[in-house]
Amino acid sequence: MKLDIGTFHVKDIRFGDQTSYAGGVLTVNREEAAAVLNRDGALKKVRLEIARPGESVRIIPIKAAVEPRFRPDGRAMFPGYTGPAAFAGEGVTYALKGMSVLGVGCRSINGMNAMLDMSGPGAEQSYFSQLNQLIFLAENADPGEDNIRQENQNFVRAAHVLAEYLAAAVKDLEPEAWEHYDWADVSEQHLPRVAFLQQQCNIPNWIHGCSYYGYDLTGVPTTLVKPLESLDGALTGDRGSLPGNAVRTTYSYLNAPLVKRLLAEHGKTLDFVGILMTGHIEPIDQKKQYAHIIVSAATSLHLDAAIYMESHCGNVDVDYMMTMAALEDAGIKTVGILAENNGRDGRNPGKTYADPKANAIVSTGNTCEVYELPPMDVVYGNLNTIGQELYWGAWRDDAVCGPSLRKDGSLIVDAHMFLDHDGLLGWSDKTVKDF
Amino acid sequence: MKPVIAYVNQFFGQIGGEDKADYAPELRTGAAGPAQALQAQLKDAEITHTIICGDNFMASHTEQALEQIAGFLKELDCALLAAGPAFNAGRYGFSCGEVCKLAWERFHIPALTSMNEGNPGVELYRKSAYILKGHDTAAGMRKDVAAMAALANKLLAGEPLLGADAEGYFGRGIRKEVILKDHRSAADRAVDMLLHKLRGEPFQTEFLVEQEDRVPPLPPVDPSKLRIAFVTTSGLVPAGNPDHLPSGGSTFWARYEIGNRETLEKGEFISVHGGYNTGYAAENPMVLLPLDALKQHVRDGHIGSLHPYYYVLTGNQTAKGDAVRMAREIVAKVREDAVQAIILGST
Repeated sequence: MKLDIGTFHVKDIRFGDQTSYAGGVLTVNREEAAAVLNRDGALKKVRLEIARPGESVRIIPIKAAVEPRFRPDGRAMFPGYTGPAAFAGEGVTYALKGMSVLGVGCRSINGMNAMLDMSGPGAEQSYFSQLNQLIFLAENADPGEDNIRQENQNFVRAAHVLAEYLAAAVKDLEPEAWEHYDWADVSEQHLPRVAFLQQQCNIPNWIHGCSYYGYDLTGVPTTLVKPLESLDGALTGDRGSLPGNAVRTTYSYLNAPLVKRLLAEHGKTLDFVGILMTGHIEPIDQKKQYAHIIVSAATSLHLDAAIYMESHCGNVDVDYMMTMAALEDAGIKTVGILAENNGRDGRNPGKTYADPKANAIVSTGNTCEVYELPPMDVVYGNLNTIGQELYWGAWRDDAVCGPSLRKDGSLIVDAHMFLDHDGLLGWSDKTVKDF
Repeated sequence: MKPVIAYVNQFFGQIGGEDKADYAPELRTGAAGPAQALQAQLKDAEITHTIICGDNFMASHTEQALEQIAGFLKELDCALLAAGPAFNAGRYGFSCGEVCKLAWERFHIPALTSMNEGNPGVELYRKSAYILKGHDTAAGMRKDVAAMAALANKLLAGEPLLGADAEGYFGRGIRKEVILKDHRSAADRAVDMLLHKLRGEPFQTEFLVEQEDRVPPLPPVDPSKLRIAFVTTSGLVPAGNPDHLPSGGSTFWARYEIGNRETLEKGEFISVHGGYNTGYAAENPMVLLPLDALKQHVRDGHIGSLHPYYYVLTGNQTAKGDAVRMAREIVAKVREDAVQAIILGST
């Protein structure tokens, strides 16, 4: 199975008459793009803005992040979601690198949205600050959809549609560079068989972790996904929600560093047999069932080893640690990747539940680390959602920290606010250390 | 020049050996014993005083010794307290640990010492002081003092520390997020760790799980004779959220009166919890606190009596240490009203 991604490196984005790409500059027809992303009329007051790395810009509440992609052979970029079903992960795809599309609202009723600073200390907490951003701001056309379950969905769909529209600007151009991926059958080499297990946070009628070919994986204990499908639009994140850490963005799936590194090792040091998307469920008896189902899937793949990503912190710790211990019991050598919840003072144990069999773990950060952030010259979206809405990482008032939003626009928030702060698909350049 | 105070025992303070171990605390001007070697390596800091105390005196008259030392510290300007090094000497480790703990907890003076990993003082005091990883005997004195000086200089200059391992001290039970200097990605760290684990080579986990942590349930109680309180992590609050309970990461709890109510009606109570669909609770708050059923059980004699408040925090993303602290606070509060058992409502 081969995937060739033709890349165009976007050094700047500008608004102009015709949506086009030349010499590293993406020109966007503002009105046309706004009309395309809202082709179903689900949004209103749509407006596009541009933010660049290093600018004094704060963006909140972010509901979706997608890399612009396009398939020259006519298949939908996100099959089953933005167009008819088709196979992803093979053939040719064009990608606009160095940029992302962000869908931004003016409310965050369920608090499951994120923030991005393009400069200052907040910028260090998200790799998205290093990308040029094409932002669309909008409201739901039907105020009836401004409820905790539905409020993000139109933004997420529109972000994917906009991403596909933008990348279509390069359809007749020769890519500047190529990324070649070959996921060949290397079973004859008898290398250790390794899978990448990803725990998804998905709770029915609430948090929808991700979809596979447009099919919502909520409530599904295991789904096998080919590595090249992940890099090519079969997995779409943030379908219904997007806090700073619990849910992955489509941008993150399309560029997942862990998938890329495992592919680089494929056929050399290991046999990367695939990605296993795994569910999370709340009742304790069903957690045990899920752990068995996940281990059963892992053993039917004849795994020797696994990398196992945790979705976030809290209730999922129980599912995660139970499953990790069961994987080790089944003889599958497992490395975990997770974020810790050490509390604001760092004196908390990090996980609500843990098992010593989980003896090899990469830590990507402390979700409760507190940050003070200076005001920014420009805010896209609605800064006043901080303190009003139920963000996990901001508060209306606090005995120690005071209110998250101060009169001058400066903030004191915790790491949950930052767009993919935890970088669990392998992005994070952070860890947690004993002090 | 920043003022530093040193602490040594009777032996290293050159008072005497085992026969002088009952020596009461003495405040001496300037640097004495190993503090002189420390002084020589300090930058822009002066050891203004050395406190000397016999190890037996500290062990057998701990309270008295610490009160005397507190009396010294109260009168002195001090940017840092440096005790020991204590090597593998158990009593000396205890003395150094107690003095460091006193300096930090009562006076907020950062304190450092040095002990060998076998010294029982390490586990007792690592959360109250920077305890450098030292040698087991005084033969390692020169190196231990040099390590203390290096860390002291950093602390005094306000330089950011690189973490317990990198600085050579025992972790203080504080976990802090750091951006790695080489920006090495979690992807590379995870795959490299996996390859080491597969090959049976040594590797270092970034999150150490030392023991499984389970709470064994207590035997059942007979509620018909008990006063019961209801506690919930559901984020259930009166409409308007008067105490600003957060949607995640609670650091405080609230309590609301239910003594005069029979039900919780739609519109009167909501949930601010950020980890589940709170729409159901908005429709009927009693899915989180079944007040009508609790009151009926009281009338039917199944429950002795009901405490007139319910206690609430938001479980979502709340750190475990905070949860334990809040549980203790709530238990202390309901005990004032002779509550004997708690129903902990889940979400």
